[in-house]
Amino acid sequence: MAIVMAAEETAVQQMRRKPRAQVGSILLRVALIAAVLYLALPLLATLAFSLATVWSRTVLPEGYTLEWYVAAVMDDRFWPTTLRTLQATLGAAIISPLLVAPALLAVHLRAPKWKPWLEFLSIVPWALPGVVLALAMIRAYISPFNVSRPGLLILTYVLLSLPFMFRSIDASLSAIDARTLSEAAQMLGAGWFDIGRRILLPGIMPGLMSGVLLIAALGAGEFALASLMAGSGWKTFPIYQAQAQGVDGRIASALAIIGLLYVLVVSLLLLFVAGRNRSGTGAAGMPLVNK
Amino acid sequence: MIATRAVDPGAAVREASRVAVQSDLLVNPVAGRDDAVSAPSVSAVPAWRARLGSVLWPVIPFLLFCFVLEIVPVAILIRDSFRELGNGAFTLRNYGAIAEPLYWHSLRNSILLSAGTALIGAIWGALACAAIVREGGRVQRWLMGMIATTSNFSGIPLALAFIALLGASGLVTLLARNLFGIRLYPQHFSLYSWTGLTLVYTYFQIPLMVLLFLPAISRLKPQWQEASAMLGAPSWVYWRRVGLPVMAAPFLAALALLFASALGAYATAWGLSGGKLSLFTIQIAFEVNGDVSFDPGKASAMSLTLAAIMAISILAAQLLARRSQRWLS
Repeated sequence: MAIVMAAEETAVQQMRRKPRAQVGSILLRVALIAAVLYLALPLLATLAFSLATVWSRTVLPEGYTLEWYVAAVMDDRFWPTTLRTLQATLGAAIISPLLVAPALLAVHLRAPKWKPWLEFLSIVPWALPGVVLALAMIRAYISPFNVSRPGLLILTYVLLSLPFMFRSIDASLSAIDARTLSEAAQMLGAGWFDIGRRILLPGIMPGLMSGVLLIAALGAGEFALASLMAGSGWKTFPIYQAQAQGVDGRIASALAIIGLLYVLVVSLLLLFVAGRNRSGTGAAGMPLVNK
Repeated sequence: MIATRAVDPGAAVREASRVAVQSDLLVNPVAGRDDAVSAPSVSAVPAWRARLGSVLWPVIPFLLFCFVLEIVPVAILIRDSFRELGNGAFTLRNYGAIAEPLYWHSLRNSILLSAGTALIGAIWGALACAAIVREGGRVQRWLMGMIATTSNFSGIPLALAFIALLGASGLVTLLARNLFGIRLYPQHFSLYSWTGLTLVYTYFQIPLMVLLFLPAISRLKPQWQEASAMLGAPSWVYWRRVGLPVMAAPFLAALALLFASALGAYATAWGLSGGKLSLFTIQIAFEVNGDVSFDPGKASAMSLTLAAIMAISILAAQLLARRSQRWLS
């Protein structure tokens, strides 16, 4: 008996040490390394190009310079387009939580049965790609009423943010079990103001933050809606990036690096927010629809 | 703060409401479960109205927004798609226009490109994901950080990055020429081709797959593998009989989402080829931008077709994900 158990134990231990056959193990390792290289190489190449002086006949660049970054930033189009992108991001980041958070709180606390309906409404934009949304907005509002194009663009960004904003705030509310907590607080004599300030607001903060950060990532790369809806009158940063490509590849590389660095910072903040909340943010794997 | 007004009718009875709720529970368990906080059953206002009011106010802006920016625009697309250009009479011809070679080919291209890159990305991403799960601690966190970051890269900057790597004067092209004397362009390779687009799309599929697949694969219980090993099954038997069948539903769910995300993509392809490669989204954008011959009916019909294909794949993904809950909860 003891021998059998010992044998079983070593079998288990061996398996834990070598969970899969050797071939499988190597295959997985190769796939991972290849994926890491595949994800890193375009970024490294862009970085190299944006820093190189002359690079056409030699293996390595003939020299390194920040000239292309200076040229990119000094361009007349840089600041206006950057400010517009930030403006659109900020606008959407303010409006979206103000719409989603109260609705979700009310539904969580009072009528959980309604949640699937709101969830459905919030997920629909996911199935509407940028070009489709742009056409819909142009036909519904821009051609007949000549509304403010930048304003409508910001509202459309809010619409695009609904799927992940809803999910991340919903996940936060479920994680703190808002209903039980506010009931308990009420029993202890807390008013709704206190409950809101001390329980609900801190509770939804992680979800809200990750939703806002995802809007920042979305706004930095959104091209379809910006170019089709606002177009030539209100050019955003990605439109400037696309135009620069036609003029000078190295300035375009510098602009790409600037954009990617911004997304990197936003992504790291997202990880930080998600890491501080073990429950996660619920928005992982919500593909941004700005491809 | 939220719904103060609606709670107030019950405020006087709140202290005593525990009892009320309990009695309410006895009489009507459903009402008790659904409305334990406000317990409006004792107040002057009828219960359903109190509840409706308290729920409604904070939800109204959200519903209004969805109505104005989601339902109305989509309804107008649907209306346009059935209207004849000029006289506005009912017609199905707009949907028939999708069968014209230009649009039909672009739709076929879109579906082939999306399905192909979704499949490559799903397999590669799933393998990478399985490898990441086996890593522990710091390495795993570092890898996941990289995945999460690159999953947000897309569109124009991604196209620019690939042009820097593989474009006509990109890094690889330069090195091939200067180190090995091979001239890649134009006969051996071009980034501004379907091959090139496949490479770029694969870039955003891999991290997305890892993020989508990670929850499923990390819930694969090690006990199952131990159990099958103790029963004498070699590792490949475990994977064939247990591991892969359990992973099949989440894998297919992720595959459907990758397909949908590639199908709706526009900026990446536009940034790379400027519209020279005919994808369905690019054709729709041409319709929207083409001031000369803008036919809203045709553009709407194309848009709705695209949205319908995406909605079906997202729905399929949701159903498959629900199916996998049975094993992986």
